[in-house]
Amino acid sequence: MKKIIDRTFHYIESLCKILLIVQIISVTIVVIGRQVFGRTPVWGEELTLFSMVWASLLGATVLLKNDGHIAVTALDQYLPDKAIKFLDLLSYLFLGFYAVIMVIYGIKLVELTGLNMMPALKIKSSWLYGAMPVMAVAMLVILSEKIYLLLKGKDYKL
Amino acid sequence: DTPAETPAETPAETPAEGETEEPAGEAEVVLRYGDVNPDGHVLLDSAEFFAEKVAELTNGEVKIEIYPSGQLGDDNEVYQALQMGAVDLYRGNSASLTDFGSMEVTALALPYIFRDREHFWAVASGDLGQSILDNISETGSRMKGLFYMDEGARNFFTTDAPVTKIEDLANLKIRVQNSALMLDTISALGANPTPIDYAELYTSLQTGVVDGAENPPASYYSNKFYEVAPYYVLDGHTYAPSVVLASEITWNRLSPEHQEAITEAGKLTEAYNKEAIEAADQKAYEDLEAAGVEITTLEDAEKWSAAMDSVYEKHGASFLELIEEVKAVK
Amino acid sequence: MPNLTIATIILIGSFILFIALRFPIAYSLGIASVVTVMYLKMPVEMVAQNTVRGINAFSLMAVPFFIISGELMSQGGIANRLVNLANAMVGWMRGGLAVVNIVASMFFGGISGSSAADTASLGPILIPMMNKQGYDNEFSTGITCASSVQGMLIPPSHNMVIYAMVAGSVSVGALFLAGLVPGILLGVFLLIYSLYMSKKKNYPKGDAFNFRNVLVALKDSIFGLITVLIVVVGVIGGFFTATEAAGLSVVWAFIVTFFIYKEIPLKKFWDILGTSLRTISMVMIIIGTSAAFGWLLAFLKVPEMVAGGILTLTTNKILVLLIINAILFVFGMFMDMAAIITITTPILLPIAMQVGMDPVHYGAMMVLNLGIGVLTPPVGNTLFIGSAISGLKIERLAKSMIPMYIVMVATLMVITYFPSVVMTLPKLLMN
Ligand code: NA
Ligand code: NA
Repeated sequence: MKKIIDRTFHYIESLCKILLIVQIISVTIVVIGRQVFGRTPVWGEELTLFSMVWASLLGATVLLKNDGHIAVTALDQYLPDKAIKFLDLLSYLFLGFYAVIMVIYGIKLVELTGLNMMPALKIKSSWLYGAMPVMAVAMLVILSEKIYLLLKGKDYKL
Repeated sequence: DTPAETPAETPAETPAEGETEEPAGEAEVVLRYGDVNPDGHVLLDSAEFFAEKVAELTNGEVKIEIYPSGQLGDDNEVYQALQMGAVDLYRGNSASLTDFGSMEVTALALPYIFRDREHFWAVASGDLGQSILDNISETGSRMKGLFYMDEGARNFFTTDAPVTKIEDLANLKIRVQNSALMLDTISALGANPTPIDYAELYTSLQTGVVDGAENPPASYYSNKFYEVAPYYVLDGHTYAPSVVLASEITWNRLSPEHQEAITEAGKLTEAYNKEAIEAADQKAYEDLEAAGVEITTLEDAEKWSAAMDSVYEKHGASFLELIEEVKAVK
Repeated sequence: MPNLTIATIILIGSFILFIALRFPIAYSLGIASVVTVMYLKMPVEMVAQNTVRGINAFSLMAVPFFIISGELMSQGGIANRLVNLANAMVGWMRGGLAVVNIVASMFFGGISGSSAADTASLGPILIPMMNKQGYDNEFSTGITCASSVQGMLIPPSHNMVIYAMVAGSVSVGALFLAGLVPGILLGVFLLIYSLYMSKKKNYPKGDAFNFRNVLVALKDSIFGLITVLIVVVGVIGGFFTATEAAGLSVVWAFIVTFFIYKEIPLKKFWDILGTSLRTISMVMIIIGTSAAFGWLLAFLKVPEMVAGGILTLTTNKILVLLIINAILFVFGMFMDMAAIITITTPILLPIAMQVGMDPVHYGAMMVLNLGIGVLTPPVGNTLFIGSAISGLKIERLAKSMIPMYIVMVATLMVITYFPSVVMTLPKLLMN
């Protein structure tokens, strides 16, 4: 199980890196288009932002796996290990609540945004907003693993 | 979603002071109304007039709370908020509604579809205007069209030389909103459409990333674009009227009496808005002249509208009958 | 009907509680928004929608690019050469690298227009470099973050443009000029502080000045300098927008790193993207969830409520401006800059104008004030980036920066109460 999860998140991270490359290439094409051919490709800005949204939200799940998100942990050194473990569990549970809500309502949002198109890319806006429920599902996978390991008394800082 | 105009395509003369007086007593229904323009703009004055009329006609039972300056988001975001019922009312624009499929109202954003302001209002306040509003909810958009507002015609402005003939526009890089209709319109006129964010327009004109852009007179003046692009040509290529939309979820919750009062207030607001925009345009032209802007008119207007054939073929195809009807209105 | 005051208390109260319980800041903002929306019986989809729209913003597009190009420059040998050059020029002074850091931000930050981008691109170069020479990690990181705020004031600045759009009849040209002197003034104040600290802590001098060394360093770093030139000449010459320049700087840095300097193999680019991704998503997810949080603040009319009380409290100009600065400062602690500008300007600007402040002057004051805000916890993007680069904990970094906050607030006070500092240049050149 752990192997499957690790591999999946390795692929997610690779996808995010590819999206970063897409951003760079699409902006380059916009500039070359305007400077060399006198035409600005209209999809440039939309594609760049589309990639940025997906890279940022998926990248955030990779970060969650590594406990890389910023938190105010100033008092950790004064807290006993047990208290820290308890607070970590509490935080994972609340994040899990957030993720469940974002799966349910993120899917509703995807349905709703199917009503309009992204004018330049000519795809439904659902493809942009789909990043939200996908992020939430990935969060749930990571959080389940962490909670399982924490309750088993194993190292849950992945 | 699409890069909507941030944050205000048509900002105000000066930011207004304070809020409107709240009617005494507790309102039964509070409706949230959004606009991207700041307080003090004609469209916000009109919104406040609308709120007053609604309060009057419902004896204070319905209260409209206005959120200016894009506080609730800009066009496409608030359309979605209307669809989910998070916002109740929004001043949208016929041009930015094009992403929702073939809504009749988007045909009103076609270039040169209106001869002038009188023509637009003759269409808007007649039966045809009403049936176009009704069509908004009929397309399954989950939004209801309430009434029209007038933002003024959009004209070109350029950095280096005045424009009077279609040839003057040839190969100029013209900044437009990132919409297929506007991009094709500019191409059809022989210029190079360049979609650039509104927030970057001033510097882009200044540094020469683009050679010109297009805006109604009040926005051209209040954003000081004339400082870097002092040539303004009254070509009026598009009217793209505003349309005030309601969330269908909200609308269906209202009592028939309240619905009727809001519709009535909308009609009154249309009349108010027509006078207000005329005055605002007039003032903008005076201010522009005082600022030394060279304002020109077209020598070959028929060539400009003739150039639009390809645009109508592509973007008007699903509205051929409607376009004829609009043009037939006297 | 749900009570709006209770909703406000839930929103802000639960956010503070979650922060105190050590939840990640990004998700504290998100969960507080979800809970509040549920209490208001509003559609919960809007939290998801606003999170996406917060990230899907044109003005943010330059940030990932500058983060990647900074990472490339710092790992691929460009940075070393640029810093060698600066070192050859001013390294002979005591605290020379601190001076280099500040001056670099004056130019580089002026181009990027974003303190986050400035810290992200100069930080990975200068912080390790300073540490190696014996500066405290806290001081190196702090001065990098603090000096990066100059970039928001020195033109071009996206935040100034956003402000001009919201405020209405404010000339962007005038605003750009209005930011120039305050930006340089901030640099000078930080410079004085750095020289004082360098003397006190006996930070190192470099080798004695030698003109031949400068020439050698210049020749060695010429390709790296072109990266900066792409941005400067490209934007000022009108070849591309600031965002596009950011994108191209990545392309150029890529070419120089892997095809000219060749210090690291091409496959290392994949790792560089990974490091960049961490910083990018760390910052972007907070911007996203704070957009949802900010939407609710606007919906609940919190900024108006807070500001509404001011004029009933006092109409004394000095006090009113002090209160406005305090309000902006508090918002700056919790929210994203662009969100604060769009939400508070329509409310606070008229108050400032009522006591006789010019809107151009207000713009410069607000941008510097919010510039301090991006350096303060609990929400401060530049601080986060500084922390991510240096490995220093947020609270430790923030605590070490207290003297720098004081220097910055002093600059803010000069700018607030001496209008001529801000207004002379725009008045001179715009008429
Ligand atoms: Na710096
Ligand atoms: Na902050």
